[in-house]
Formats: sequence, structure tokens, C-alpha cells
Amino acid sequence: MDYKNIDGLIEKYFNGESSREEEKLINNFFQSELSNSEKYRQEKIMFSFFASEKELKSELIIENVMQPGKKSGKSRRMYFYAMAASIALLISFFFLQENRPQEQVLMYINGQPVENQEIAMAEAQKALLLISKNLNEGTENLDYLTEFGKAEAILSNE
Amino acid sequence: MFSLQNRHTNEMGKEEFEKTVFILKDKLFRFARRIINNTDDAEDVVQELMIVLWNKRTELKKFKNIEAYAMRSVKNMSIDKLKHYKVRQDKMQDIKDINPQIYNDLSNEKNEMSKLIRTAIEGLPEKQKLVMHLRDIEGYSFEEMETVLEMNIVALRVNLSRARKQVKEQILKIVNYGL
Repeated sequence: MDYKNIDGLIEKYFNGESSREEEKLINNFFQSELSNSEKYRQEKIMFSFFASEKELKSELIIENVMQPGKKSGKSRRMYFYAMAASIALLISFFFLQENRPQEQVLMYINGQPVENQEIAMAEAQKALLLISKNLNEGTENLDYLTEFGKAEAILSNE
Repeated sequence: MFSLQNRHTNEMGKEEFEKTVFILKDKLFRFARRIINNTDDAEDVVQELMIVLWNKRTELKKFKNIEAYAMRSVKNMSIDKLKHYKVRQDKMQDIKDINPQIYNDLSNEKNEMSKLIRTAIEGLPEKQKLVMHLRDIEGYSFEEMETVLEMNIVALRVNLSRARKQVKEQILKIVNYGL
């Protein structure tokens, strides 16, 4: 190939005036051994950089375009977390559902099921009152015990 | 019979899409990466755009130059993405914190020289950077660049000349002061 006027072409290149054909010629020159001189060092580095940059490729695959549910990189990670969270939510929901009694029976009084919430509440309160009343009766007797304790303390101090 | 025909046209659409649009993915990726300076985000932008184009595949046939249209779209999407970066940078009030993140994917670069030149190009004004990328890396004609960058030929040549001279000067500095 004829590179007689290569310096003129290079000047045109840096002035932004070269055509694509001329730039191809310049590129070929810098890839050849003819340009192995200190004079062309910067240009050679520059053109080999351009060539290496053209090798960069995207990792995108066609399936990720046709099925946009599959995301790449960061978005895919976020998508994965969202999926995991919703699955966990679903599982826990079914678990709770399963442990819940089938009928809305709230309590049994003398073997009779009670389904009305108000009645159940009133019955429960009655039952709790009864228990607390009995408990209070029980604690009355404890007063004697504390009196007994005081007497014992006096005796032991002497 | 009807469903068979339907399936047939769908398959043609997919094949045609792969040949005319999906084939542009590497060019789109390189352009997005030049603007955003981040591999992951550039990949995301390309995927987003491809999904948009796939959904618009019937309209695409109207375009004379799908490549120029796709390149212009990826440019606009990438610049939008970059604006979000800048907002984040301003909020953090510390550019040093964000820079390692942006340049993270360059850290295992084998060629130290490539890394330095890439950084020099990153430092160019945006128009110069994009013109140089399209011409010197992708080999675009001025007509194609006019469509993608929405600039006239005079402005393109001026920006190209400045970018080339600037990068040459940067290389001289790198060579003189060592890596």
C-alpha cells in the first residue's frame, strides 16, 4: 500500500477533515510495521485503543428481551429478592390459614358450641370474675400468715 | 390452520427482530457504556431499550434507519441514567465516594494504558466524547452521526477535531510521565 502522503492524511485526521476511506488507510498504516517509529508513537497507541474498544460486547441474550421477567445485573437481584419475599409471605399465609379452626366456634358451654361473639365475651368475663373472686378469697387467709411471720421475727430477734 | 399460520408469522417476527434489531446490542452497549461509564448500568439500559423495541416491533418497519433510531434512543436513556447519578453525587456532596463505584468495573483492566486513555476520553466534553466514539470506534459516517447526535456536520467536525487533538495530547502526557 502507498503511504507516501500519510503525514498529510494524519493532519487531515486531526483537523476532523478526513473521509472514512482515508481513515481506513491511516488505520492500516498504524497497524503495519511501517509506523514503528518514535514519531508515530501517540497515534499508534490511540488507534490500537480504538480497535480494542470495538471488541467490547454486551452479555444480553435474546430470551431476556422476549421474556422481560428475566432481568440482568442489578435489576435481576432486586427481582430475586422481591420473589423470595412474596413466596415467604404466601407460605406463612397458608400456614396460618391451616392452623385456624374450620368453624367459627368460640367456646363450649356445657358441651354447647357458642358462635356469637357477644355471648362468648360475656361468658368469658363471667368466668374470669368467678376465678378472680375465688383468688381474692384465697389471699384473705394469707394475712394470717404475715402476722404469724411478724411474731416469729420478734421471737428470733430476742 | 389459523393457529398454525399465526405461529408462523410470530416466528418470522422474532427472527427478523434478531437480525435487524437485536444484532445492534454490542454497538448500543458500547455507546451506553461510553456515556454512563458503568458496565452493569449500560447492560440494563440496553435491555430496557431492547424490550421497548421488541414491543414496538410492528412500528419499527416504518423507520428507514433502525440503527440510528436505536442509537439515539440509547443515548437519551443513558444521559437520563447519568442525571440520576449526578443527583446522587450532589446529595452525597462527595465525588470521591461515587467515583470508585463508577470505575469499579475498570479495576481489573489488563491494559493500564487503555484504562488511562478511557479516563481521558471520559473527561472530554460530552459532544466531543460522543462524536469521537461514533466516528473512531464505530466508524459512522457524518450523515449517520447527524441523525444520532442531532448536530450539524460543521459542529461534528469541530468537535471531532478537538477530541482527537485532546486525546493525543493526553497520550503524550501519559507516555512522558509514565503510567
